[in-house]
Amino acid sequence: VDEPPGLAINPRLIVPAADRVGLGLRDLAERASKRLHQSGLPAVDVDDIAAWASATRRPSLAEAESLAETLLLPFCGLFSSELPPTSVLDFRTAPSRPHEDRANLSYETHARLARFDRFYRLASELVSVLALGEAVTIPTAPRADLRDSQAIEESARRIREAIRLSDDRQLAWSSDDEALADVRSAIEETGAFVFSFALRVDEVRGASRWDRGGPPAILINAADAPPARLFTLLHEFAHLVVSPPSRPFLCDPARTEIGAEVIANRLSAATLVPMSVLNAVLPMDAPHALPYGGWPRQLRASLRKALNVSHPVIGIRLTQLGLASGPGSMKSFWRSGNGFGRGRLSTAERYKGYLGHRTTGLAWQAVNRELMPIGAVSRALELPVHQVEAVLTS
Amino acid sequence: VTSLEEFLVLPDTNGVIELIQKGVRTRLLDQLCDDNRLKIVDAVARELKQFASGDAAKWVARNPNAVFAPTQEALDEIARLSRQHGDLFTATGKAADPALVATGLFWQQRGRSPLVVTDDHGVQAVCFLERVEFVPSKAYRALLERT
Repeated sequence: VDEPPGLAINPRLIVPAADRVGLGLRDLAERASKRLHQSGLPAVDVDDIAAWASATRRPSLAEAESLAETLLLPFCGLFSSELPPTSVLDFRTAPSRPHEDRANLSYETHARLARFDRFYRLASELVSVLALGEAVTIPTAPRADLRDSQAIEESARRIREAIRLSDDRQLAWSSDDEALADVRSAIEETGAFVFSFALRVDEVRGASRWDRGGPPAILINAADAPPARLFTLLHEFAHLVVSPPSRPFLCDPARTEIGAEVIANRLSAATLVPMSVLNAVLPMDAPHALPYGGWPRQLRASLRKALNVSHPVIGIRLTQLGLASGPGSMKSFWRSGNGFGRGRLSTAERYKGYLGHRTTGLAWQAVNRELMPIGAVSRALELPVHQVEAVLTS
Repeated sequence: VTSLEEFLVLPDTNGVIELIQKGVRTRLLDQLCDDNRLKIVDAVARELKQFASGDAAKWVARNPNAVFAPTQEALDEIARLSRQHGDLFTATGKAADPALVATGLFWQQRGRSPLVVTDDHGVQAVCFLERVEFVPSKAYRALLERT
């Protein structure tokens, strides 16, 4: 039988791979064409994609490459007998969405999660070439041990110790941005990588990943307001504490009433608002009998300013600790942040924000010591070499 | 690898960037292209246009004749290598990686001695399994300087 000329990809993967990232065949053709256009190559249309999917025609190498990139697949994934699995990710979504509702995420969000995957691979390579495998100081608290509020408070205390977050240090924060930068930097010092770039807030607020043999990593959504990002950062850090790769959580049906998300939320709130800090900032005449939403506006504003965490978190913590009768009905105080990726920042500044100090510092060391070629960093970041140099040296 | 005379050099994207950034004269690489002793795999050329800058970008632009566009035979090799060694080509997930090894095999079957210049451990592993000679960019640079 005469085979059509071109590259023998698996045609049966195209439609399910497009479905998985929320693309129709027409969108797929348009996006693949944009990539081809950047290389000075002719566009493809929906008929071409349909012909490849029905195996009546085959793509050229460049067309297959743009197809794989658009489908967010590694190139070799086009030749697999089955659709390659997506990376293992635990992500935090908006409260209104079912947890891990991956099928309904937009293409943009899938693409950003694929970027997280590329950054994670870069981080893993850095840890490997710089021999940093043993340098993680994240405390562990298996979920099975976190059955009551006392255990949550104790684990939160250990998290504060691990990130050296004393009451005095927290009360010295002068702004939400300073609080976020301080905690991000402290978490990076535990050996975790913290990435930050904009995603749709209604789809993903943060994600974490810790592969066996790889480093722990967190993604926070730069489009979220800083107090929300701070909460998400500690929520994702709590996931790393609860489920390190070397100590997988074994499901015990008798103990699954409290989900991992609820535990991560409780740990994050307890870490950000411990009793000792509340004691330092709560006035003697606080109206404990009222829900937090009904407390005087001035008092709420002063608490918010002193703690640099969001009103919902303060309300929930006061309720949990019996210091308010409930969180009360509050409008969302979380505004969309200005994030990274907007026009006023240069590419180098934007990528520095994405990557964080730890990644840029380690990449600089690895390149300088000739342990990793700068081209490898360039490919991982999908940035030209001169811009990678600017990111690493600025 | 102790001498370069016999080889057809196939650098990967990092290989070209490293060679040129670390001071190998582009005129020397031009000469290798003119002598038909260095080829740029077209997927590598596309990556270089996208990621390289300065001298490396200029070098690939002025050597269009050295760019090797895969024949159907090479495309079939790319498909086979991707199916057989997909797990080893995971570091970047780019088409250039299997294309580089497939180009090596293509020229090997025509009596040439291909030498893949790469620092990528996945590509090196596949070269080893497919019996295609490879060398890290640093070692190749040292050999070039010696000759």
